[in-house]
Amino acid sequence: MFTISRRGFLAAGSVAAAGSIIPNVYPAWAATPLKLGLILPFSSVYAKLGEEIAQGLELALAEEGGTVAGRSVEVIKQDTEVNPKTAIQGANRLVKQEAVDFLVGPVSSAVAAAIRNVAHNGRTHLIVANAGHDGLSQGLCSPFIYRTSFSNWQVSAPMGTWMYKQGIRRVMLAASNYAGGTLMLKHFSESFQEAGGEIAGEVLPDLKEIQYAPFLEQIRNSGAEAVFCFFAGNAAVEFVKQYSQFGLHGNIPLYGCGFLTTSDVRPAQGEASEGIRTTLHYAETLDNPQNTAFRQAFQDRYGSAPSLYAVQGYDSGRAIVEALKTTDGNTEDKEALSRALDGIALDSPRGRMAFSRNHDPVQDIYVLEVQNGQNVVIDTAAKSLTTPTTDCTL
Amino acid sequence: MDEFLVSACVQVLNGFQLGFLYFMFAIGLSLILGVMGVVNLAHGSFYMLGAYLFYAGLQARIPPILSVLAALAAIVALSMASEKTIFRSLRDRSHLDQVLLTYGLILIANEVITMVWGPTIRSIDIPDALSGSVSIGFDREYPLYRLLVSVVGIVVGISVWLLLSFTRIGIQVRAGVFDREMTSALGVDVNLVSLLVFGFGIVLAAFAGIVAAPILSLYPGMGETILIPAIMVVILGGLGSLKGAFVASILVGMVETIGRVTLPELSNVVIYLVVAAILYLRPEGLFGARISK
Repeated sequence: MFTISRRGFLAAGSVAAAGSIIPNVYPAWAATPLKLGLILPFSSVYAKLGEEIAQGLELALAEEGGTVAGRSVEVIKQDTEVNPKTAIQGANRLVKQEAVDFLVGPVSSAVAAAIRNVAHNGRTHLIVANAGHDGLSQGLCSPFIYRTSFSNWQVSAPMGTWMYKQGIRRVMLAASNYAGGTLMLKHFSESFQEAGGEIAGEVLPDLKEIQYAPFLEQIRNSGAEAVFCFFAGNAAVEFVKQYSQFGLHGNIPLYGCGFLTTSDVRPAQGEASEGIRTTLHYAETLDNPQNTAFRQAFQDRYGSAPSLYAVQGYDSGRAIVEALKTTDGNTEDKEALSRALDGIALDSPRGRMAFSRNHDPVQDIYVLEVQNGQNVVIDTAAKSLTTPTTDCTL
Repeated sequence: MDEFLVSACVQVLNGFQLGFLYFMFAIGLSLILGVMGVVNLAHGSFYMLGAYLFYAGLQARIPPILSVLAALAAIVALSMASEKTIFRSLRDRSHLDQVLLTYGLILIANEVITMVWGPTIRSIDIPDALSGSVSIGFDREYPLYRLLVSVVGIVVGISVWLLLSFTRIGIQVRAGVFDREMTSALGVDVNLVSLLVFGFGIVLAAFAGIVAAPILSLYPGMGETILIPAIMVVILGGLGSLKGAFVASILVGMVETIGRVTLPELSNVVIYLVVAAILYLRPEGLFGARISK
């Protein structure tokens, strides 16, 4: 879609010719297309997420008429297959052979951690469009890595404080048993206990669990006033359905990270998802002009409703566009590009968004409740939240 | 103390329910391995396909019972066709060839499901008539549908047992498990027996997928989650043994359920330890024929 036009090619040729006679009059980068390397899962379990991120990004570029600060845009897609090894090879190819100006990606935290050094050592800006790996804005932070999505801490810790404020004192924890899941529980526990709350216990079903019944029995017997959980994808569907089938729904209120009820799983959960409260940085029903316009434009262009992931892709595109406008299209001076990104303030569909010192989004974290099959914002758990800069020396 | 006992009873029910689901799935896996000597890793794909066809029927507003029957009819046709074209010729191949080919079938099946229904997670609601709870005493209720899973498992088990014990074809099947070559030499049409066993086993796998669908969710690759425990059931119970598949299913379901409650840190290991211990004592499985070769 974004290829060099013939006229652009002729212009580039004449500039190159002119450049050889009169050096340093017209900067070399102005004639070359802006190259964006999408390092996303286009196959395997997260294929749908990768596709939506790419669509959101392309929408942001299309709104600029396909050129950014006078440069045409070339998008190169690289499939990570959600496999860190494949992703490293792909990222290396994009950085070394294709010499992309930006990497945009990945969905999985493991992939993000794997390609961190490719971007950092290759001095190529990486815009993280989903992976919530806390380290990326802490110990593994880099002058070249910015995140437009969230950190795991941002979508789990605020709920601890918020639930305590609602008068909840004793909470049972549940999560799929893998690093991401247990980490979310840890962040929540810390903030909930700091506020004065008590953890009744935790259950950790396997990531491929098909039988949640034994864990639900433990939750029933825990004497907790509420449950905080982290499940995503089909685990979110199965946990929520079985929670309801065993009669816990309505008796012990269910809280969680936003991914428990995002639009990829909520239709499959049906009635069982009603009343579940989660924390997240976006909701389809957010009432602001940017969100309305974005949702309409996305629907018109792709014929489907955008999800959270499309918003993250869209904002990644917006961030790149705004930064290039500041540098007047210059992507050669990496320090200047970082300064431009540092200065960005986006009117995102999610609300105001900027980058913090450790390059995470500064954003509001909402409390959502499923009402009539829709996530409705019932409160703001944290205003302009920044991830703690632990171990990040930027 | 009462509280504890009630809770223990509920966990036992949970164990039975999981065990019966494994049982329905594993019968076919075990018989196909026993009679045809084929390791069918794609067994889970038919489980997935059963669930998706049932889903498609419900989406088309076909009544649930008819949707189940239509899905099973389609599976019968598909299983017969795939037996004749693919699985029959696998009988004389090495286990490595069988594993490679049926693994390839898993990939193809998942891709086809993705192409037709997309990667989106889908789900089926429990039919209204079966969605309630029943009292099990001590002020406790248990989901009706879950109890029905066990009842259906028992009915299926008894039916298969009657088939194998009292019909001519059942006797030929058991003979085939015991010694395929000798059975063939005695004039039994081994091709027919293998076709029937394969079709029957696959239909049961698809039926397990249909029964599980309202409890679980539908997505490309859902078959692999049940395949691993089912393979354990087959090895533990002994190849081609119905009694073995039954006892091993309930044992695996129970150990997995109870293990998760009492030893959460070891819950994924406990079942393997139990299986390893049993196989050490009885390498042919609980009810397998003594290996003489």
